[in-house]
Amino acid sequence: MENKKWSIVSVIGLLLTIVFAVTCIAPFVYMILMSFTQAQTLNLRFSDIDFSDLSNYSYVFGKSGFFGALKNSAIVVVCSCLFNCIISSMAAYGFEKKRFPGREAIYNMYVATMMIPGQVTMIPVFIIMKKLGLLNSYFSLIVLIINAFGVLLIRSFMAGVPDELLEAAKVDGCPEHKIFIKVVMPLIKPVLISLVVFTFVSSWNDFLWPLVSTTDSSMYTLTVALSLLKTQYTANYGLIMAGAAVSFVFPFILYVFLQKQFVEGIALSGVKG
Amino acid sequence: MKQRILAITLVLIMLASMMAGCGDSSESEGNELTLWMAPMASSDAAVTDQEFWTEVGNEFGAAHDCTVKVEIIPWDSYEEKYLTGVTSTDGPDIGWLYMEMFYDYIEMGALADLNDYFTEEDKANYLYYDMGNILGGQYALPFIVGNPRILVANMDILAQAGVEAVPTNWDELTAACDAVLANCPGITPLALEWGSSHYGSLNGSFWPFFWSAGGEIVDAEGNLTINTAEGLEALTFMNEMAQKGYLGTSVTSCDDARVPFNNGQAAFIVSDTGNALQSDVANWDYVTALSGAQDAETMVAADSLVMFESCENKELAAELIKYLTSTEVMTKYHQTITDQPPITVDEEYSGSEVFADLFTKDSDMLRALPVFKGASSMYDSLYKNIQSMLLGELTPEEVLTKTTEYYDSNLK
Amino acid sequence: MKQRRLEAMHGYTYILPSLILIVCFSIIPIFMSAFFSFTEYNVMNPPKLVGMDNYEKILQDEYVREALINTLKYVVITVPIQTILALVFAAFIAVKMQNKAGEFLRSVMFIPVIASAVTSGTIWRTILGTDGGIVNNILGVFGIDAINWLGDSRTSLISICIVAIWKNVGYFLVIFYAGIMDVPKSLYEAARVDGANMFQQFFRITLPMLKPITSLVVTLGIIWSFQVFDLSYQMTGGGPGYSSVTIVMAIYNAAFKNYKMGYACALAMVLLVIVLLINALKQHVFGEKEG
Repeated sequence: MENKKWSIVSVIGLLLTIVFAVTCIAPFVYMILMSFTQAQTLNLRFSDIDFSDLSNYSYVFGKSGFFGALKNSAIVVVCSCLFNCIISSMAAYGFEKKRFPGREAIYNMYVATMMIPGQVTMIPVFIIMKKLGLLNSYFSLIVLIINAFGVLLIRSFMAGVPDELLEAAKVDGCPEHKIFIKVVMPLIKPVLISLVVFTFVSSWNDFLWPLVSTTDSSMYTLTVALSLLKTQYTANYGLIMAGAAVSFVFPFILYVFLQKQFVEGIALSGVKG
Repeated sequence: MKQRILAITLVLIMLASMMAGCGDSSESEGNELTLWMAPMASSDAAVTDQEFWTEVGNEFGAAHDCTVKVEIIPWDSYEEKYLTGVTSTDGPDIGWLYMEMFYDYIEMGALADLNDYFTEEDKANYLYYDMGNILGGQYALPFIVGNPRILVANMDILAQAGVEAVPTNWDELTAACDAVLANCPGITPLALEWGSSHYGSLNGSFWPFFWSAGGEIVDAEGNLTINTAEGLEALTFMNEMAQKGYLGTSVTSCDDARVPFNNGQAAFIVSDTGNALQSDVANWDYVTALSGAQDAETMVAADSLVMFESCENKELAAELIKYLTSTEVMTKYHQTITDQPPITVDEEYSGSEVFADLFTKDSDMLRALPVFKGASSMYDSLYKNIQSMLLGELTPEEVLTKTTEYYDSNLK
Repeated sequence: MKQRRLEAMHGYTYILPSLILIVCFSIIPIFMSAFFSFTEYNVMNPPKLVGMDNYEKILQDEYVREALINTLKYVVITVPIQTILALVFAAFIAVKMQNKAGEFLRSVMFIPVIASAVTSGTIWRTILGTDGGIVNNILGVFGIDAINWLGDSRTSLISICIVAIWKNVGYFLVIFYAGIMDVPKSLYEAARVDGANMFQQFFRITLPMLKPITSLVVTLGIIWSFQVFDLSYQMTGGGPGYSSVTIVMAIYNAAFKNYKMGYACALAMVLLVIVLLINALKQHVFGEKEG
């Protein structure tokens, strides 16, 4: 590991790594630059860029209804994260720390559902939501984000919470629900943050289900609104890039602040399977 | 026991709050009408479709003590939005369908028969009322009968190429394209939208050629009849144009032909009349349709307003339809949003002088698409196969047989 | 006895909210999907049983065949490349750049992961534009003719694959990196004592130790690939022709364009079988337990 010699191979490796890293951000830089032009052609000329010209952004927010979409995405994301954490940690606690008949059977069923792609259940869920009159509702957008993944993730972490601690709390006369809220929840905070990060990204970036389940333009999420922008303003590249920038900037800010949690969350899910 | 009750209450509160978080959109009241319209205004127009129809809706709402909720459905996901909308509780009461969509919705029983809501006098005022009689019922009220697809030329480029007049038949088009290729480097002779993800470009880019070759899309029994000598002739012509380079190298990635045309990079485009008027090119001219082996014919839109069976207040909805199609609203619509010919006797043609001839002298060149089962899926399949042909992967014969086979086995 | 019953009650109460959601939106829909796949159903009218018709049609449906082939091509292109790239970059950074710079490079490579597929697709659609797109402009500098990336059936799917790889590498890199950091350092030290160079260390220690993680990355990569929709929808809409239609797009089109919910459900069942097979294969090949 402490191999400090820089051979030619290493230099090539370094170059490749840097080239790839540049490729990773270049499109986003391009997006930002383009969003400050009024270009009708793809050729990006630096003379076209005018950072004081916010007209693309004001148009995106004003006439094309991005503001509503931003609000919807924000509501959906916040609720998904909140409910996913509460519901999944409750279930994980139940599975890990309580004994009840059928526990492993039910848990295995959870594991099995992880293998079912969302697209397989999409049509029946669409029909269920339709029958319940819940298409075009925040409920339908939120509820599908909550799945077995959170339970599996938290349970694997909760195995590390010592039973003795819970027993001790019980002996002290702490009521059951307080054990969960006061003792267990604080202990699993790291995994909860990872789950929030996951839920945030998957719900913010969710596209197929919102596309299918929302018909009311006041219920569109950002991804759907962005996808429609492409067809409404085909050649107005500046405008489209402004839309893309808006949808990108929020997860990006979150990433800048919670970078460690993002990375740890994914690493955790990877290592623990 | 106490904890258990507490835990259950917690759960219930949580579920209840989840349900509550969604409530605000699923209410439907008797005096609320949902109106779904299609986008017609140009993307940089001063008044957007949404603004226009919201204002019209508010005027109607004020007069009839109701609210009209206006929704503009983008073309690209038009049919998907209608399907999901119609099946959901807050779908449209009044919608805007094009010909390709009718068969499926009528077969589903989703559309209401409008006949009883209109008096004889009303009917007499509509120029195309009878056109809305589809599959044995008055399911539609033609709303935009117009917007024909025409061939528009940049006359400056043609002049440079030494072409004096807009072509009127296939041979002249070929000659003009050759001249442009020879004399105007870097200019695409004919920009067609074969890169769009929606099959709608068939309307301008294919059916006019198909019909002018003498083809018919379906026969009287509703059988698909594109796989004929006439269909082959039209496709072969299209294929030759592509191979000779008339359509440019990136025809299958061009999703808006107006861009190269407006930038002065294309000599011809096929455009609807509404868009043609918004062109940036100063010196342009047009021809309604080109004659091929048969007489010149082109596609004219026959989009209609419809009322859905799920509408709770049909009387009111019918009133709204009448208001939307009233001379007053229509005149304003045709002046501010899209330049179209009148649909009622009362309205005078207020549109551009440029097209005055088109709707009088050339009116027998205009055809609407037929109504038949699985129309949009057939068009989609045909469209994709023609794309493959333009890329050199299918022959014209294969396009026709593949589409017909697909239609007969999967869509009929 | 009472104690145990109470504990069981608590257990059920805690899992109840989650269980309701799982049952309602995962378990029941699977059975509904299976049922609808034997029916003709357009949402408006009640479903009509048609036996195996839908499955028979799938076998003959050229559109579905194209979608399957495209999806397979997509898997074959993206999975190996993104796995190898992620592994190589992770190993390189772990070995050579355990410093601020390495950390920065890792963070940068992760950025495409957080952008949605729709956002990425939107940007890349412009970058890959035929006339004046950046990529073609760069190629032009080297004297290469403009490539009709998204408008040519030979390159449309490849373009989507490139974007997918670009988007996924950062994700898998993080997993590999964490895995490499977990490899006991003593192994490397022992190897160095034996005189093994960097490559030998990589092939003799890193790679074998990362086997479970590699299996996860590969399986995840394959399963994601079978579910690809957003990128293709946003960049090409499945075209030109059928050149970039994917399975999920075929499901979407059947259900929400052609109003054939039954047929779409049958397609969805095919997708389910494929994904289950991959999972079974993974367990067989890598001989490890799920979970």
